[in-house]
Amino acid sequence: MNLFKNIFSISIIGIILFYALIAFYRYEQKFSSQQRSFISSLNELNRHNSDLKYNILQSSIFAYYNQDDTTNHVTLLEQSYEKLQNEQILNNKNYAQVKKDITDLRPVIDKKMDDIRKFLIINAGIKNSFIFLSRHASRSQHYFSANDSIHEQIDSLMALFSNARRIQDNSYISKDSKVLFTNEHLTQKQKEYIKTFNLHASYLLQNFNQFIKLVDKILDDTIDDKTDIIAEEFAKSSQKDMQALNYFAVTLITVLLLLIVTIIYLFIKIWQENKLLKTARYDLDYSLTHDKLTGLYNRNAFEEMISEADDKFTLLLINIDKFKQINDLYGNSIGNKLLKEVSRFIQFDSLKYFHTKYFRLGGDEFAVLVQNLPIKEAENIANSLARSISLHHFIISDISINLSVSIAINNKFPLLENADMALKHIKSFPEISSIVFDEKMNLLEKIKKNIEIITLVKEAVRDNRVIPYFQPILNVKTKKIEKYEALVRIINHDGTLVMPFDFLEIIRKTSVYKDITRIMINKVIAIAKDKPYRFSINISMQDISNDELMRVFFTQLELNKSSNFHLDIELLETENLYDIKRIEKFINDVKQYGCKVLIDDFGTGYSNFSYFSYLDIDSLKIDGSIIKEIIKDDKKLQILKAINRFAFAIDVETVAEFVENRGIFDKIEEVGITYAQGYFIGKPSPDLLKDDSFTV
Amino acid sequence: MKYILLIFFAISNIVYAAEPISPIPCKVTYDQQKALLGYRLFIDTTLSSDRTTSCLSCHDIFEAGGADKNVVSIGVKHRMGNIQSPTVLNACYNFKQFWNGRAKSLAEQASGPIHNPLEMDMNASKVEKRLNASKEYKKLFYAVYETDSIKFSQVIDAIVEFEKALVTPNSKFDRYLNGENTLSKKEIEGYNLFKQIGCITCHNGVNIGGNAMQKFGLFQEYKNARPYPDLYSITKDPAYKNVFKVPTLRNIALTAPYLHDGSAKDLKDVVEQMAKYQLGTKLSDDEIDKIILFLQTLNGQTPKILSQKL
Repeated sequence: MNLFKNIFSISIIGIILFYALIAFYRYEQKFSSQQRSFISSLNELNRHNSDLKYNILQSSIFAYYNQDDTTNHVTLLEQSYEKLQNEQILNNKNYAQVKKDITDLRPVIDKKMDDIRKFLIINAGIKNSFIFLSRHASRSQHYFSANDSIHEQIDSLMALFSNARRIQDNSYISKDSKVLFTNEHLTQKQKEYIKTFNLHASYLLQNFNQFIKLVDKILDDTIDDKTDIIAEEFAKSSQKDMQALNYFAVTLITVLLLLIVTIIYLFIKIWQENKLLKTARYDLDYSLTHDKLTGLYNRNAFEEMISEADDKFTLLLINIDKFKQINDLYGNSIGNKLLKEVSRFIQFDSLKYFHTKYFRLGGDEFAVLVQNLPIKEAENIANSLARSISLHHFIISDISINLSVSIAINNKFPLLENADMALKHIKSFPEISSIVFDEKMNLLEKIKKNIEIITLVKEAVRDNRVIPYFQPILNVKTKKIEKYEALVRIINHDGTLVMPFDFLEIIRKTSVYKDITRIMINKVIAIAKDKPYRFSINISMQDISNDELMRVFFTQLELNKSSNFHLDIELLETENLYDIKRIEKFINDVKQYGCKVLIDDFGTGYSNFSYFSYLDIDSLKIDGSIIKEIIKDDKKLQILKAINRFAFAIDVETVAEFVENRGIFDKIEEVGITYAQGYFIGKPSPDLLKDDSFTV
Repeated sequence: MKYILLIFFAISNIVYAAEPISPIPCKVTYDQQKALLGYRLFIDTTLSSDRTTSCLSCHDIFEAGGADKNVVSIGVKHRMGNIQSPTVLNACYNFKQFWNGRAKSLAEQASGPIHNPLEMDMNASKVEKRLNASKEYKKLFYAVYETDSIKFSQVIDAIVEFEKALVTPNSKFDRYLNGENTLSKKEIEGYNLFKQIGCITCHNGVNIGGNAMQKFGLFQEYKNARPYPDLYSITKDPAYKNVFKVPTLRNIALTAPYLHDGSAKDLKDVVEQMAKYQLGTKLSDDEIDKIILFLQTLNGQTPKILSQKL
């Protein structure tokens, strides 16, 4: 992920920044310490210079002076200059000018040292002369008489020297200043006195000027100016350095801030991504456990919940009756809205007091899972829920829909399977809306048996153990066997026969059903070939609706067109012939191949006389439930008669089945039924009868 | 008269500062072992080319107050030097070394005579070679410098250390300054004269001199018999002609003859000359005697290191 790359980059930048900071800190430390050191050296130089000046000044005033101090100060000044010269910061090329200024200072200092040396030489002489003269002048009266004018001369010279000395100004004594004059008349001692006086006076006259100049030069030196320039130059250079440091610091801080901003940005990004991820995961979890349409828990959630829970659960399995028809009638959109409404409705008030969960298991099936709900109470709730639903008018898009539900209640393991069975059970009892699962229902067994039968049929189809049995049909008038009805049989593994009653209804909804019809068609056609009888096979509405089966059927008819056979179709009347158009076409099509069409089981269930008005029906088979009773039940006999009259009227032949005995046969003969079929005539058999004639 | 007194007053406003001479400190610090090694080198003629001359030859620390009794020193092969040898005692208190102050340090000075062809006539590598050939020196140097190969710089270093030990504290005058004893009346009068006539202006400080340069012949030109290495010979500044370092007056009574040219054979002689050339005055015999009495109080204690066994 990009994130790792980012973290890596940030870490690298961080490390670089860290080292840069350390480098900056160390450079700054070094810089400031060097700077401080330089400034302190420069100050030291100035201080020693001032000290030296002060020292020289003292030396020029004091009669006795310990020159050790002066030499010490000279040494200190020299040392401080050398220290300044060797300052580390001067190695930096930014300070080249400062370095040059310092180098230029060398001759100035040398000159000063030279001046001091010269000063010290003259100073000794000057001092000694002053001392000498003051002593010498005070002794003048020992050499000269009190009124000698020489005293005045001495006084004025001494005053001159004294002022010059005190004011340190050589303008008081110039080279023109006169010394004492000597003459021939003086004594040897007097001459000696004047000579000595003049020696010192002329020394002062000659040297005082230079002495003053030297003192001035030493005290008013240019070192101060030079060090000022150096300090200024240094400040300028270091400011440049500081500026560079400042830029560096600003850059560092900027990078640092950027880094922090980046980190914050990344944090926010990660946080947002996490949030999105959480939402996505929540959505995913939700869709995994919830039904999209109703918002209830879905089948996954249900299965998980009942597998995880060790609590005692009671399940209410709710199925909307005939929801498929509602869906077909109003469309999916309204169907879905209805499901939503129902999902709200089943969240029944009385369930709210329990720990209850609601599920849509799929289609129109809902489940309510309640913890620790006694069965009796569950039944009560289920009943009142079913009643409220059946009384409620669901208004969907201005359409008022009434519906009913079937509810199975179960708390026995396996929860869902048992409830399912109970629900199937209840469907056979439309008047009951709820049922509690009971092991006695044996529903489990039934399902097991159904599966066995389906398996049995599938295997029979595979092993060619599906065979037709033929039951003879007698022409009542001619007393001749004219027709056979082909009936399907399956030969079991043990050789016993399985009757259609035992499997046909079970496999009706399975794919093997059409295989049975196909096999029957093929086998009956094969047998009917070149036989003087008509053979009828049973075709259901379901068969006609199956395009593939019909294609096979008509292909067979087409293939055997040249063969001589007579095939009749018995349309099963037990179910509603709902697609009249299809049947009409079917009848027309089969008639092309000389087939006759018969309505089976007429007189019960769906019997609809109107068929005959638009279907080209050749005959009708009156249901066994009527025939069986005609002897005992006069009403049944009357029905028979009526049907017969109706058939006669519309020119349709009649067949009576379940003709089991002589009495029934006589009766139908009396009524005038065209054909008879039943045990009295002959049982279904794999073979045809050897004799066509029938003797009563 | 009043007038004269007034003038006297006016001139006497030359201020007298604190005592211009300070005593030699009694305690000096030096590396004993190193100094002893320097002592041995100081008296060893191995350091001269013909093995006849040592430092001691011209700086007689036992008999002549660290100076030379000869007018000029005699070096290897009896070669004559060009100046009177100054004392080595208390040399560490001099601000510069040699008469003309050309050496800024003792170390600089010490290597001078060794290289001087008129004195010891050696060079650094020759000294090293000779000393490295000596097992004893190798041992001694190893003890001090922890090195197997003796360097010339170490030789100088050891000698300098020895010179630091060559101080002479506790002279009579120093003890007087410290308040430990008294001087005789005449000695005090001598000291006062020393100050009053101006000797003190040059001879002051701990070494009573040795801290400034001065022109010899300040009031009257001093005519040298031949050229001497003065400050002018280094700086070529005419102002420095005949300018020499002011010598120390410590142990002055022991270091005759005096002056750079050794022309003053005794103290009386040198005091007279100094009065004439440097002070522009003539002292009476009485004054000279008193000053000499004072100068004689400046002889210090023999350096302790000299009583140590080598």
